[in-house]
Amino acid sequence: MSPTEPARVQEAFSLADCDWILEYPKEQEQRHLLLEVVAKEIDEFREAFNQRFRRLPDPFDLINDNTEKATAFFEIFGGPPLSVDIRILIWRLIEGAEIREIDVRYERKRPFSARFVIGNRGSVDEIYETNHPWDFTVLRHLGMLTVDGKLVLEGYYASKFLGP
Amino acid sequence: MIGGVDANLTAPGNIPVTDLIIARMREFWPDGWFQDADSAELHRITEPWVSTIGSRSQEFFVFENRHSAEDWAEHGAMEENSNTMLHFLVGELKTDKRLLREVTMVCDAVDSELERLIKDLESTFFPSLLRLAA
Repeated sequence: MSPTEPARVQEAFSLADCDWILEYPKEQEQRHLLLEVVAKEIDEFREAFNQRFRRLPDPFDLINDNTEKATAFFEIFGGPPLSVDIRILIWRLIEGAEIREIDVRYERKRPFSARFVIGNRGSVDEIYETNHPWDFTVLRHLGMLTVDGKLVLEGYYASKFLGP
Repeated sequence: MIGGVDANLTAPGNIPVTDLIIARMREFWPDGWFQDADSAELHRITEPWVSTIGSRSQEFFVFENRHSAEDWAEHGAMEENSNTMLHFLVGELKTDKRLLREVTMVCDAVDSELERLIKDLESTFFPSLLRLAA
């Protein structure tokens, strides 16, 4: 896997309707640094995903396949840094994995922890655990539906698709 | 699909309607198959392809299982395959109606199971309706 070029990230932000991410910082040098860090985060995610699932995800292909889902993915980099496991979790939710269980532990000014159990239907549990405080932001993007009147969390969506 | 019964729903413009329908249909028919109306290709409803590419569709069919998909392809609508396929049409945004869109679900007959499905879709599109169910 060849390393992602910062210019490719910049182009992806633009195509995925996320170019607002580069409105700050104002200095060109700082913007370039941000793109470099994001490129590394994307590569780190792809490698970790490949190690876990033996296939290489391509967020850049997703722009052509489904721009709205690509927006959900690239929007990640407009927020606080997320752990690599949570980046994998997000990709799996974008792919349609079902959310089976979420445990969140939060106390004001105390360490944060969360545990997500997801999986393909009829398949084994995939477990994602984190103590990384900013990972809580994943919760703000989960979709919601009702099944027999009961709450079912499903999918990971861009901010603009979070409901009426 | 020619004939059948239309269930007419409305959804806000700022939610991923097709994606939410697919998610609900995975629960309704866990062995279901998805077909975009513009294609002959069939995909298992749980495939990642359906979530990433199929979810862009604005007109699609969901079959109860592979057998029903083949049955519909071979024979079309028959009494024997009644309610084993649902046809969804997601309309364009209606700017004159505060960014709403129409969603039509076509089935053979609305039975109690489909009534529940329709109710779930309504409250998924407009969670405010859950207040009325209490």
